Amino acid sequence: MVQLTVLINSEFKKKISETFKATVPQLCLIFAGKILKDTDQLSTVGLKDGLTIHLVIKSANKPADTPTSSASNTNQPSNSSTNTAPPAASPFNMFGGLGGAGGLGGGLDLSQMQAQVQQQMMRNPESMRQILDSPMMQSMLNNPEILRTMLTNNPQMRELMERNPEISHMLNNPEMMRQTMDLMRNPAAMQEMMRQQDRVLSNLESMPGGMNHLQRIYRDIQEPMMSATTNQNPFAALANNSGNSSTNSQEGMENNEPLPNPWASTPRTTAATTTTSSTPSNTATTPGTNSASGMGGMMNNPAMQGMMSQMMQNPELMRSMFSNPQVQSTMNQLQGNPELFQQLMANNPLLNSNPQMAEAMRENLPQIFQQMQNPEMQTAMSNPRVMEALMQIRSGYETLRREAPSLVNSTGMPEIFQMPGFGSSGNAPASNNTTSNTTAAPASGATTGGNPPDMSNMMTQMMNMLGTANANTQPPEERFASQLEQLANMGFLDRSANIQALTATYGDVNAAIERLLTQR
Amino acid sequence: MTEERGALLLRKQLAELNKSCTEGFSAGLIDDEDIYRWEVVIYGPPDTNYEGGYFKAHLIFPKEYPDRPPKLTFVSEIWHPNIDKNGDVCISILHEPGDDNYGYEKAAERWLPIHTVETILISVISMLADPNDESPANVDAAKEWRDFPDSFKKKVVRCVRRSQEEL
Repeated sequence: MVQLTVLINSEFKKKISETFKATVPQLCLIFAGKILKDTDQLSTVGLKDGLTIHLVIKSANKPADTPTSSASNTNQPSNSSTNTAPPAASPFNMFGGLGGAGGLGGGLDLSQMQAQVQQQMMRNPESMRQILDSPMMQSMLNNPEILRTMLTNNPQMRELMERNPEISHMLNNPEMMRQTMDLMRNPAAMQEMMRQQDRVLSNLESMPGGMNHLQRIYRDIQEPMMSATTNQNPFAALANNSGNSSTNSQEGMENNEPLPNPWASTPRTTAATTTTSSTPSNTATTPGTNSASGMGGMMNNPAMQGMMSQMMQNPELMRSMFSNPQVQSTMNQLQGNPELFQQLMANNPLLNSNPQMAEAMRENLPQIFQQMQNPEMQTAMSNPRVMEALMQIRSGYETLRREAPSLVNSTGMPEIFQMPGFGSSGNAPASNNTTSNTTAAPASGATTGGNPPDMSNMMTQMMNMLGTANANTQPPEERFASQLEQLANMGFLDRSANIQALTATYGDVNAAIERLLTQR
Repeated sequence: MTEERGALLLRKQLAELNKSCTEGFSAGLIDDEDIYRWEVVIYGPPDTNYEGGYFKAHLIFPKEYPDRPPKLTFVSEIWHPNIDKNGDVCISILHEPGDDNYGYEKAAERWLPIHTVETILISVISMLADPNDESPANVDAAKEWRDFPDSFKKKVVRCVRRSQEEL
């Protein structure tokens, strides 16, 4: 290892000359398009650990100089550690990379990381399916916008799309995307669809003019697509692999059976091919599972916000949310990392449009988390009646503040009531200055349910945080203790299978049950 | 918006190029503050007249990158049919997209937004190895390359030697 700040180029060269058995004047270093001069300092030219520098060794007798064409990595402890792929079962990381979401990972290696993850996934269709099955992914996959961003961020896909407008057109069709994802998740469905296609095609062929039409389709669509995808189709490997898990006896044969009745009560396999959108099965009981890191777009969509405001109006939901171990661990994480939160806030359009509120939020941040951390607080939160009482107090306080602001300021109400995310209204953030904030939350209502947009805003933050907090050190038994109990009560007695299912579904009991049932 | 995207792409490419072992060239910024102006050293490809040469060049991106191509100019003296006497490189992938004014290039051979610093430089390296005399930028060099290979080679070797002296 070389001390970059101390050594100038000539001293650096001495070290290299020992390694490469060449004299110093023979050496020439090229870095980032610059030929390094002997007087350069390594630090001033921007050379850092893990970067590549090119070395040219001139032959002793001029002019027939020979280059050592290969680039040598001079600073031995290179960045290999940063390159190691994250475990495939870590979808959060993956989407930090794919979505280009802020705040995750060390930006530089994202594309490399992504490539590695991709490779891993291809080799392991099972883990791919697991990830795709997780509720988080499902909700994400149901949002075509996110998918498209992901795809366009993938250089392979981008190239594919740029070369073939038809394909990009196809990828822009949300319905199509969703079905594709469904199929990827479910190899049986894929085969089923292929089988159906056979049948449909043979029907078409027997129609007058049908054959011509088919030929045209083949020429115009399938051929360019195949040629475009053969070298670089990220899914090709998967398609090959996924066949292994269950073999279809009809594969490769012409299919003469009638199509299954789509209206019959179908097993899961056909459902996947015919249903349009599978709503994320998880309810608000585990909002954590819904969250995708930094996916502000999704969080801001009306459905999501509706859910959140519902949640706020329902103490029961609140309670289950706060008892969710993931939420708790997230709080821990966030407290240790306020910058993260600030970044999230900066990305939130709702807050951006309201600088006053954002400011207040930022100021109150540490306090909020302290409060959230407080075990007493948490028990209180998990008692619906306490919550209800608090809401009432809050609304009483609200009235008081409206009617007699001076009184409120002088009484020094406990800070807890002035905090956003607690109790009802959006004007809460201005804890330092309660009176000035009425413009920020004109709708701050007397309803105990509160002001949905602001509350959902708060919720959005929390959801976002959840996405970034998956580095959970607790063993799954502890993390999912309550869920495990639930499953056991429902008659799922295989504890290890339960844990596995819960881990895969990030603690979503409903999804876990579905998973357990399909595995049987 | 376009400007930001271009800068982002270039920054990403820079980080990748710095880390990976690139064959045949080294690339970086002229000025660390300006992501649109790159300088590169292109190594003469082995088994060609240019073997052993280290040719400096500047790669200047327009603000509209990646919708429009960058301009590649050799700073080092170089004698080549497709590099004009000012050092400007004339290859099809660096030509503006859209209609072809000259009628000899297909759209697919022209600039595409998928090109990166790396793909451009790889094209240039292959151009060094295999000149295209159908659309010469330096007519004299093209004629010489075709008709008097020996004197063409002599000129190239002189350029190579000169580039080595700069090291």
